Amino acid sequence: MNYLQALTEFARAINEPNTANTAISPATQANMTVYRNNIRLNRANALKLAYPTVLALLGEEFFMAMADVYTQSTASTSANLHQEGHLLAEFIAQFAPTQAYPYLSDVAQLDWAMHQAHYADDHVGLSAAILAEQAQSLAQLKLLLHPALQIIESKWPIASLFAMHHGGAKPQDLYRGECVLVWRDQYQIIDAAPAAFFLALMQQLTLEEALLAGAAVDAGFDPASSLSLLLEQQLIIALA
Amino acid sequence: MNNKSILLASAMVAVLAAAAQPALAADAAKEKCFGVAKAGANDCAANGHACAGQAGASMDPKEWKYVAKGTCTEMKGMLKAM
Amino acid sequence: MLTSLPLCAGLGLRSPHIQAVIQDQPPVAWWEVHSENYFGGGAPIAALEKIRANYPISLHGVAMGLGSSTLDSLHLKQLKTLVDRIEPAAVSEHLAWNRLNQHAYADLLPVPRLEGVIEQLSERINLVQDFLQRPILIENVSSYIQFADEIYLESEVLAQLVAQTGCGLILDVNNLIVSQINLGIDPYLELAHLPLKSVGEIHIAGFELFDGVAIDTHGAAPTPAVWQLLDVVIQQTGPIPVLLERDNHIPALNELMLDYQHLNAHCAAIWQGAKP
Repeated sequence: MNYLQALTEFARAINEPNTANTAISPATQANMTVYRNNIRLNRANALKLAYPTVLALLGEEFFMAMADVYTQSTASTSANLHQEGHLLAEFIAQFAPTQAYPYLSDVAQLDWAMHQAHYADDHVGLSAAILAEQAQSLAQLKLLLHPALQIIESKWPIASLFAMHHGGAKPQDLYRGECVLVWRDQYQIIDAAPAAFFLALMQQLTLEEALLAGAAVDAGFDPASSLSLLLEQQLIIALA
Repeated sequence: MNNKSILLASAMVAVLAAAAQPALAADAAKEKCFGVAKAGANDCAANGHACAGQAGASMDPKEWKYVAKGTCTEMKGMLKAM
Repeated sequence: MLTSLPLCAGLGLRSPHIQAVIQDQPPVAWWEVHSENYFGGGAPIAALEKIRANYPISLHGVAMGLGSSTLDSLHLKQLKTLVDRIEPAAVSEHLAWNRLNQHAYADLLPVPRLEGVIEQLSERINLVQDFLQRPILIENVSSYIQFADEIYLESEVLAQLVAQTGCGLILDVNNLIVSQINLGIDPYLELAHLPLKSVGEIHIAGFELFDGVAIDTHGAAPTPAVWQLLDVVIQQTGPIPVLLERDNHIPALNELMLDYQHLNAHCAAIWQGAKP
């Protein structure tokens, strides 16, 4: 057996605990459990750190049992544990024991967006002065936004549920949807028109096209506060 | 002015107003972030150990664990029957 | 030069203590962090940059998986960005693998010491060192299994890698004791094969026993066997960076500082007594 064959056999010994394996010395085969458990527990622990709101909603025992099923059924694609769990919201949406909590999958999406935003690459935001210099051609500019910026739209009050676990009160009405703008370590509930505006910018449409996308949702759309937010929070990183 | 011109004018006013303001102190914004630095998940992967002390035990998930004891119990009465 | 770390004890820096280290600047000669926790931007690396302003930093990777079927190019780029920003005194990784065919395993898996292991690893280490434009240190890992019919000791593989790539080593004496308990390896035989001149850093930590298996949790104080092996090693090396790691049951910083001061005094006493 050569090196790469042995790696393949080791991976098989992790994934298929009940099949015979010739690569591992018989005297130490029982200890493969240690690796299986290390991997599962390392991943489950990473999920706890990435999904604090889901963890608080379900409680430790439920969350860990669910994490176990998730890690068994979903392969990791990165060994960096900060990237662990990118499919948990989808998993929760179809996992039988979480069907009693229909808002949970969307809350997981928000947790993941906040997690991603926390670790997103650093970029220096453009100063408003640079944008002001281009005032004449503003309409045709494309604004490149910070990679931490994301939008999560839900028919559930996901930001309120998130806030409830960060010192806020519980939502008054579970059936009032919320659209959430997420950036580095911050979020804001936004209306549908600004959401359409931001989404259009993210899709690299021109500023004019993005303004019209906002106005198409709400004829009274005023872009001033949305643009001020982008500039104040240094979320515009380049112009094209 | 048509709607497009109004939108563009409003955008321009916002940009010019922001440009007229003193730049946000980047350091102040950074300081705020320190309070929210998360625990690094990769400490777990160091030197082949797991963060929980059950590394050698076999684990089987049991159905009874799927009883939520977290804060979702507070929302129970608010969910309409489906 | 393999590292520019101070030739004395250092401490593993973990998230519960980061705030206190920034604010109180405790008297620690150098800190070691896990590189991957500082990949990307935002608060983590901003905090590390603040700490770097006051201390030498050792960047210790846990997830590159040097022995994997392929290297992860994103991982390498993120590490390079981190190295460029932090200007660390040392960069290190493990003699381990963690990915095969797009499937990652979040642990330090031992490399099979079979035909091809030296070629596989030395090619990767050369690539990483070229990319980072600096030498890296490779650490021996604690193992729970052995592959059948292995043809090298772990120390023989490490010695070959040093010879072929110019990399340095981290010698984790705790890992040798863990592998001794679990697999019956002889730590002193391993030591005999290691090129001690290329050891740029020593690690010590504590393991915990679960059902007779020594699990390298870094969750306890080092055992007497670990201290004994440490003494043998540092008598031979002379003054060298020695890291105390603690990852589980992490005590308060002032308590950890006592362990650190004890280690520092212990090493200094040995180096004073040892003949040059």
